[in-house]
Amino acid sequence: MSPNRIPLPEAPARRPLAVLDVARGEEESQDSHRLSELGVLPGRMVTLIRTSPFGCPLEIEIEGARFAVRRETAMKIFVDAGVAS
Amino acid sequence: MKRVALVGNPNTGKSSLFNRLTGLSQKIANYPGVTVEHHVGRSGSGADGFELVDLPGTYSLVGRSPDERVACDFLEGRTLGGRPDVVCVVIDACQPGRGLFLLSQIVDMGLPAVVALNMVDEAREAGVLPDPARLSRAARGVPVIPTVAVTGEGVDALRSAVIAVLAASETSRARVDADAVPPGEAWRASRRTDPDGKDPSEAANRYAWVRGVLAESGWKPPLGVRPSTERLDAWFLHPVFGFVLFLAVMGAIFQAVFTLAAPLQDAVEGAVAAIGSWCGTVIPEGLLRDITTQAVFPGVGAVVVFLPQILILFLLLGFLEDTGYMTRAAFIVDRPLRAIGLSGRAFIPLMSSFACAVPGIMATRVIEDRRERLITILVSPLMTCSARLPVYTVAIGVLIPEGATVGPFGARGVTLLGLYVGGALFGSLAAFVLGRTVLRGRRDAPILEMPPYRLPEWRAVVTRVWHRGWSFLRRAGTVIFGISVLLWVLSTYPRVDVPAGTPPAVEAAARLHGSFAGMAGRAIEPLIDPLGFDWRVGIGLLASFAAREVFVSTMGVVYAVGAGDAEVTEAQLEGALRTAVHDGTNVPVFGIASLVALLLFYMIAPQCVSTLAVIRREAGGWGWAALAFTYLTVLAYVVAWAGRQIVLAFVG
Repeated sequence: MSPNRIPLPEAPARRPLAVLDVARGEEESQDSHRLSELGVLPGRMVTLIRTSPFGCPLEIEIEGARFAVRRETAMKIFVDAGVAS
Repeated sequence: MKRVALVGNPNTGKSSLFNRLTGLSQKIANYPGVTVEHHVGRSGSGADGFELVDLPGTYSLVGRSPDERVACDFLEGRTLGGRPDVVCVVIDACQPGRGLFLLSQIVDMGLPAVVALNMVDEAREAGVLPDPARLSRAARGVPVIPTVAVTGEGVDALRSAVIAVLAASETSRARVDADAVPPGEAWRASRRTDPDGKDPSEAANRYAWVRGVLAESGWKPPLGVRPSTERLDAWFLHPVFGFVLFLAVMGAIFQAVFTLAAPLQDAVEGAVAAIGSWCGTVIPEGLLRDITTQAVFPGVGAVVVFLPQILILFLLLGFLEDTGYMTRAAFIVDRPLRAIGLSGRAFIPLMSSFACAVPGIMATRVIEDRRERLITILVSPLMTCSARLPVYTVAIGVLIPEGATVGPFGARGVTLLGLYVGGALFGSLAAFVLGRTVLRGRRDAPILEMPPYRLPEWRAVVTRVWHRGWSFLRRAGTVIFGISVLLWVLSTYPRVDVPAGTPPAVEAAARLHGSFAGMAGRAIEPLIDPLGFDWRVGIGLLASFAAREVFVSTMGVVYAVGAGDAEVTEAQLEGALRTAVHDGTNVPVFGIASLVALLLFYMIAPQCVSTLAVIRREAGGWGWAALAFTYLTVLAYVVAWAGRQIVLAFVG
């Protein structure tokens, strides 16, 4: 069965989901490298926790710790949302 | 002496551990070849003692942010003094993964390492403590010492382990030359093929190793964050109440700074005046007494009065920072700051700049993105620092009669608030313009860790406040002391001969007019005349470029010369300013229009050599300091001129 691949900001909050891949983005962007150093790697779990009162950034949980990331950064993280409900 | 580097992720209690290991022996050092200060301290005594260097918190040693680069350069030996002998890696026992990632990089660099598995009490409580012995075996035999920096648990064991590794590294170093693969080869190889750490498989490989180590040590990942953090975040990051609480917290800080500091400031003021007049009675009449009572005490005293305010602000900000709230504040204000081209990361530096731009600019090091960091540095001087307050207080005191109101509020307070808001607005405008002109280009989006809420450790907060307070006092004791004496000399010499029998006030005016300071003030008078200032104010403006607060003491010297008083009270000074007239006329110098111009000028102008020096150091070049100086001076002049014209048009 093929995974239900969606970007993290569109995933339901507070549900740990497996990372499928992290988009590289533009050449100069460091986002995907910094995310990988923090542990956002294919097969690992990430959780969308909440959105800032002004709609951006998002709070996400990686390997037991929480991080504030901007929406466009989180859009590069693709997760498996499982069976669409 | 042997050198040991302390490295670790942010929020792992690294600074507390550093304080525990070094006690009060630490100092702030500036290694040649690096632009950033290091906290350096001595741990242990005698032959076993070593020098401990606290490196900035980092997740990786690739060198993307200025902080990361500092750590990386130091560990690779590009900083003068060569590579450290041992690296102590601080790892959060609750979530050791990212710390072990850093450890793998350090081991690859070929550096002997010791792990401080910190906050084991929290991990034990959560039932997720990895077994230190098994962790050590799994992590290539690197010693792992469980510690609790806040209580000091395990700190002696950690020191012994470091000393043991130092001794062992000495014997093993002799063998290295014969070794086929010199230490550090793995790191050098990976840096050769992938200098910027852009290969995602690099991080994946390291994390594969980390997971193996953690599995071998029998570590179980915790189930989410602690419930206390969840409960507090439900309020502090609430979609509606979150912002309301943010405003309340920041408002409370400002309120506390002013109300709590007031009695302390009175006490300091009284003490300075008392010591000053005591000196006047014990020092024999002559040059020394004149300098002491007319220059040193009025000059330095006017500045030391602000120490309570600065200490209280740093105490409160430091406390909030250590609870973890400041990261939440950054999370909330990221969006608004983004509108002017900055991010939540700029919040703490800008907030600190309300006390003093110097620590504020130093706090910009956490901003990875170079352009955003430069913009934050360049607009920090526009945040109203405490040094402006004495100028504001005196000018507002002359401008607005006591008891005047605007609606239900005191008019003086409203004006002061307006100056704070005005500075912030011009700061936003400047950030917006700089981001679209000199510093345009794409920005790296911030990624900020949101640490769990913790009760701050008073020891660490107080140590930081102490260091900052001390550096402020040192500035008052050296720079401002020197300037006060220099100004007194410049406004006293060359002595002008006055016919005997001249009234003292006229004599004083003649003396000042003929002095070096008077010459300089008159030289710039045509330049500042459009703002409504005369040559006496000119002296104050020139003196202010050393430090803003000097303006008040200068006005004290300039106008108290005739009175011959040692200490000038605020009321006396305000009275003197109110009656001051342009030479040879009855036109007051400090009319409404020129007072408004003075306030607007001080709101913007970059009158502080310390700030310009720190901009040069942090931005990396006199060019940036020159840019800051130029744009702020021109802006200050134009705004002050425009403000004066508007007032003249309405009031006449």
